Amino acid sequence: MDLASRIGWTLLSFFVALNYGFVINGIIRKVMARIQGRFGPPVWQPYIDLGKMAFQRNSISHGIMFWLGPVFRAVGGVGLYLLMPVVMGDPRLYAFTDMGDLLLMMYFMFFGSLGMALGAGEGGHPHSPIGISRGLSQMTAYELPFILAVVALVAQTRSFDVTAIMAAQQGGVLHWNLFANPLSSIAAFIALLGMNMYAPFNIVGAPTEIPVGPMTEYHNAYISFMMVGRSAFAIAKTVLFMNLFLGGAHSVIEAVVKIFAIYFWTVFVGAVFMRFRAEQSVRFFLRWPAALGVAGLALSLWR
Amino acid sequence: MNGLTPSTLYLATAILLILMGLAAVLVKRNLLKMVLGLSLVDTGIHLLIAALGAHPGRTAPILDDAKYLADPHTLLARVNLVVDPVPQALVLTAIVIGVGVTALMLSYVVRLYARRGSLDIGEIGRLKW
Amino acid sequence: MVNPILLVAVPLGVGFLLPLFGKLGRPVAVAVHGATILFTTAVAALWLPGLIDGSTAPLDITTGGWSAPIGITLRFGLPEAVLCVLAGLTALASLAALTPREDAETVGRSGLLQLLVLTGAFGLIMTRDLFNLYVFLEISSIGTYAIVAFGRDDSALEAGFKYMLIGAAASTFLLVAIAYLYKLTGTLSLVNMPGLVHTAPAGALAIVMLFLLAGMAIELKLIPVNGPALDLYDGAEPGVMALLTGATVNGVLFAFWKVSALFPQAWYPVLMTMGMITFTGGNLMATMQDRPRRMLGYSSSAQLGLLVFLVPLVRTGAVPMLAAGLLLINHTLAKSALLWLAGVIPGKTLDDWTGAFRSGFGGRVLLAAGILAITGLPPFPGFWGKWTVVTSLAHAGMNGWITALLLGSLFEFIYYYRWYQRVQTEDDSRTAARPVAGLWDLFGPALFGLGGLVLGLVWTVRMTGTPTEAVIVIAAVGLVLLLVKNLPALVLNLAGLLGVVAAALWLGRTGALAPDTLPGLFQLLILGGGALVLLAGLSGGSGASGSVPGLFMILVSSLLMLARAETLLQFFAGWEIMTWSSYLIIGHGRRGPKPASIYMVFSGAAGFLVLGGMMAAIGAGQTTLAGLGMLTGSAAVWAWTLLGLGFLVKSAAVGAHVWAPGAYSESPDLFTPFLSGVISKIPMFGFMVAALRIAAGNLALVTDGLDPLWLLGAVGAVTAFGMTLLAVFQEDAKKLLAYSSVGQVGYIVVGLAILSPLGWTAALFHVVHHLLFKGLLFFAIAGVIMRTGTRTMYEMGGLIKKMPLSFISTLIGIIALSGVPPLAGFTGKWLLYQALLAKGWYFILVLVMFASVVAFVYLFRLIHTVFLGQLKPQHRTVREVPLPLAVTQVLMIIGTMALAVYPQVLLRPLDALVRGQFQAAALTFDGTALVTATGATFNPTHMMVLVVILFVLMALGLLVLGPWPRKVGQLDIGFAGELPPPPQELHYAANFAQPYRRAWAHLVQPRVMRFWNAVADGGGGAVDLLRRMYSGNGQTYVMYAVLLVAVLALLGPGR
Repeated sequence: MDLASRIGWTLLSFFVALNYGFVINGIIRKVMARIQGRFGPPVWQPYIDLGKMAFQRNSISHGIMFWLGPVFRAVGGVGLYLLMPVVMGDPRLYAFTDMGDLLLMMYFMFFGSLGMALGAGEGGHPHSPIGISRGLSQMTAYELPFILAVVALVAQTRSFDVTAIMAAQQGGVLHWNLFANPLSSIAAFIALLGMNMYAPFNIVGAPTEIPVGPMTEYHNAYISFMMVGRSAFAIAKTVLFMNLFLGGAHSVIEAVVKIFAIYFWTVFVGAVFMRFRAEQSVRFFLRWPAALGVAGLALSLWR
Repeated sequence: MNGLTPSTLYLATAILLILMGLAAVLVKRNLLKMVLGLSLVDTGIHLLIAALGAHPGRTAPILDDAKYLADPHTLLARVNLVVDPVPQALVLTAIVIGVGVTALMLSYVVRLYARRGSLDIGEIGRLKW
Repeated sequence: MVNPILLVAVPLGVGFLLPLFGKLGRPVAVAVHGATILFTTAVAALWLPGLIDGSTAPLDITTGGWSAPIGITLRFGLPEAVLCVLAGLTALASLAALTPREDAETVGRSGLLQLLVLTGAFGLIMTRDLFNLYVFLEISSIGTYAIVAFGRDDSALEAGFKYMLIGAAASTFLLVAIAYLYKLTGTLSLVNMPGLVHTAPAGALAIVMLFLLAGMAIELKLIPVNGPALDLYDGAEPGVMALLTGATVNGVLFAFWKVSALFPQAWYPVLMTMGMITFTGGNLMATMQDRPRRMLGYSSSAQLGLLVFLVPLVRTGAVPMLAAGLLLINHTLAKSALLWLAGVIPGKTLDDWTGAFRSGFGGRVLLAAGILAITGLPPFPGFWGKWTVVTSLAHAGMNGWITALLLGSLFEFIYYYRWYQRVQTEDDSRTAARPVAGLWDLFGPALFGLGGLVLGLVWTVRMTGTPTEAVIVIAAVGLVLLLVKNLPALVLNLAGLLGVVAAALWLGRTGALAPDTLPGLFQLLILGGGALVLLAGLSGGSGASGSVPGLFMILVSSLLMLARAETLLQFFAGWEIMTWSSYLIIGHGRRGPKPASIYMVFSGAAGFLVLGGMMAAIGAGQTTLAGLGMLTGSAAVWAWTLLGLGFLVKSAAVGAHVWAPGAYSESPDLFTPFLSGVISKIPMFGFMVAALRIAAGNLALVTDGLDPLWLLGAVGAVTAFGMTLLAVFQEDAKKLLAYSSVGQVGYIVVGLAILSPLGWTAALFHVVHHLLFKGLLFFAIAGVIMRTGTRTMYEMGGLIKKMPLSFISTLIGIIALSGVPPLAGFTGKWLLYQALLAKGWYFILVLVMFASVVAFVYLFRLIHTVFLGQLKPQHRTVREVPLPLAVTQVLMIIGTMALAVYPQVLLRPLDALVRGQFQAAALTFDGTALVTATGATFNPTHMMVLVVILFVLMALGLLVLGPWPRKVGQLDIGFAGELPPPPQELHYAANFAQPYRRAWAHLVQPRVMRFWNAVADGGGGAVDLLRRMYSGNGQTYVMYAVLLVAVLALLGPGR
């Protein structure tokens, strides 16, 4: 495939994924509202928000890094999506995944968050660093079970190549890592709760205490940019989980369903749990999910 | 052992003197008595060395008569009749050194007494550890 | 040639006339005194050249026309000539040190006693007659007793008296022994006696030897009969003690050497044991000493113990006499110099030394030189002596003795560098009133210091070959810079920079800097890192002025020597010079002295471990680095273990990490990048050229039991994780980076331990990259500290507005460190993780990955707390860093970015390098993509392009989409309608990792620090009890002498 058509297909794929992300966000708000006994906003509310934010007429800046924060965030989200193979065996939906492997994805995940945190830092509002401090603590903690799970998988394929991990899961549902490596998968899916920052791990933006955490000083166009970045990021991350644990997808429809399932796992858990304090999250992740991860790794080495 | 030979007597006396002196150095707290003890040890040693060279029945190692020196034969006979002169020379030197050291020690005692007002060895233990 | 008998005759004759000359006036007495010493020294010195090259035969002097068995004979050969010259020079310097304090009345008498001591020493050195030896011993003793009493202090009297008491005991023992020896052999001549003594009945001989040994032990100040000698060092004038050290003590030692011929071989273990107990024990007890003069006494005792230990070994030919000679000369030069310097400081306690020799020229340099020499560091002669001794012991398989010797040497480090720490400490309330060393005070130390240096340099060339011109140039520039240290920083650093650049061009022309060889790569790093530090130093600031640039050049030259080493000795010599020069630089930090001395003790331990490992190799017959690969069996195990431990301690691996934060953070700011970027990599170089060669050659080591390489990797991983976690909790920017540096070295250790082409590529890539980004961070922080005057991060904030370049440097530094693509940190991590995966070390993989994630916490905190958030009012006038520092940072940014965009610029030479080491390739290059042997691919260039394109697109999007933002003030934040409090309260910075602290508090207790403190306290307590055996009571001391005889009688070979 030549570069032009590759870019074309990638743009199309990204456009679909982005919209799917917006829709999912709308559904989440609806679902949460229903659980809480409210009617809730319409499913297309995120589009309304995006439009409103993007076309506000005024904007302020605290400095160049502040301004660049949302840019970093968007690059991080979009870039991560571009590294993901979405549908197995369909090179049109492989984007630029040949650039690197699972390690590249894992480390590029930090790009957006890091830039965003830096931008928020320049905002000068104390709530931003408070939120970042909590977020960083939580993030580093859930990375341990996630890393353990990932290493358990790569220990079997002897490769960090995502397509190799996907290939190893073919041949039936029971070959999915979710069932083949249950302990590691559980550890990873608990880590996903932290990554998606729904309750009980939503202290980062703790709405009542430090209104929106890191994003406190951001507004208007900045927010719209972040929404784009976050949607892309969320989809990309979920695709990664799908590829690692649910055997990947063979068609766009399968991908849509699996992404939905993975995403709503965090939403449903988030709907029924209380919020952990930051240090409680840290302790939690380093205890049970980590123990599961170690057990999973030991199991996969033993086999 | 058939009785007390003079050498044994010298040796016994020398060792007795040394032990007495050593006891004084180790037990007496008075600086002067300690110096006295050291002198005793010195004397004992001098006696010991002299006793080593002593040989019952021989005379002083003085070969002053020219007639002995002229004839090697008689000279040898004569030499065999005198005691070994070297220990005596050693003792002479040792005595001189001993006197010097004792004098120096006594002057130390005098100055220490002037400074500290005490002759007790226990009092001069400020430098330690 | 003048007859050496005059050495005895002239001073004795003139001496007694000196009081008369004194009547003619002070100058006359001093002139006559000086002329006498000059004459005798010259007489001895004139013999030296002939004796050295062998053209002159040693002279046997007979007295009264009688030859050996009957008359008294003296001998004047090479050892005698050397010792006489040393004694003469000591006397000359003593004249300079002691005379200014005498008035016209006493100058003659003092001179007499000095000459008497000198005569005694000459006699002791030359005589070959046992009784004559006794007489000379007494002459110098009497001279000593009298000259001590000249002291104005009444503690001198006390010490003198006790010294006389034990001296009398010694005389008694010796006299008894001599008399009986005469009785048994019929001769007093030391020429004939050794041949006759063995015919004597064994029982009688045993008793004689007992007394002889006891008497000599007292004279030689061996444990346990050295109490009075210690008191003497404590109480008498140091100048007097210097004279005794340089003249009498050497005489006695040489006398012991001569009578040692009388001891049957069965006594040798006893002599060696007593010597070694004195060396190790004396140094151990000195560690608790808070009076430097007494400490020097313990040290003298210890050094003599070492020489006594060597006497039997030299007799049996196991150790060359030259080695013992070097140690003796080294001790004389260093100890006398230290004692003369001690004479300048009136007080006796360690406190009195705070900030000593701050003003005035040269005092501190000479003190440092003396301490370096006496602790056996190169290039001073002691190092070469010790090396020869230790290698000889290794050849003889005497590993237990080596251990004891190195342990004692380590104790020596502890107290000497604590002493120097006090000297370096600037305490204005104390230092202001410090006396300045006068010209005459420095005469002796300068003479001896120079002598030691010259002799040492001669030996350096003799033992390690002539270093390459570049090393000489850099070291020479360093020495010159030390002499002109008062010039402005600009001049000093420019000169240094030119020197380094010239050396680099020189080496580059010879092809020595090829980056595809290990030595070439490291020489490049050393020269590059050095040039950057000197370039930054052009701006002045912490670590750019005074003696630091000069020391830095010496450090660079030593590193080059180390990197170019082929033999173990060259490596170790370079290693030790690196240790002391970096130590001295760290001590130049404002609060540097204390951490510097801790650094020195740990470095000393590391050095001795490395030395021990080398001895295991040398014992097995391998003397080159390349030869290490041929080691097998237990020699391989020992060499690997000890070298590995040494390198780990030096790299501050977990457990030994306690030295690092202090040394890094308190060292001069502009030097820290070098410490972190280059010096911390030297142990890694050691692993590659030494330790891992052994492991590579002994894969059998690896197969049975616990894999030592895995263990090494695990240590690296735990270090990486543990140090990262500790960095999270730091409030001090430099401490944070310090822990971070140590942790990053942990990654390198992991990579090296994998021992695969890919692992080494990862490690070496990280070696270079870490130099760039961590150097960048340290330089950026150095600039911030220079401008704000604080290192505490929460006292800063918002500096991005004032120091944008420093912000960019820090930003690039932290992204590179964190491993976030597209910078090269990811490339390094990717290589490492692929290597770990290929090796199958999964748990290590998890730990290092987790560590790299935790690093985000401290990285964000570093940049946020310093550069983001609220600018403090007191920093509104802060400016960007000066130009040279800015240029340095820009250069390093360029380097970092180059590695990010096109890492093959480094990876290709590294590939050639590891190919040479392993005969296998780590990577193939597919266009801009990197492909490992297992097929994993990463394309850093494309990744960079992708990110840049996306970045530009998104930034354009925000520009087009959003309205042009209005810039607002610092306090214009959404504060719920309230007036924001002042910036200090808005800057959330202190205790930033609070959730971590709450969650992990129990994990990060300073347990390791507590462990080392407990070791220090417990050990210190035990030592304190031990040294209480020196109760200060003269009778106790005499009792020890009696007990020594008893113990020797019961346990000695004669029982």
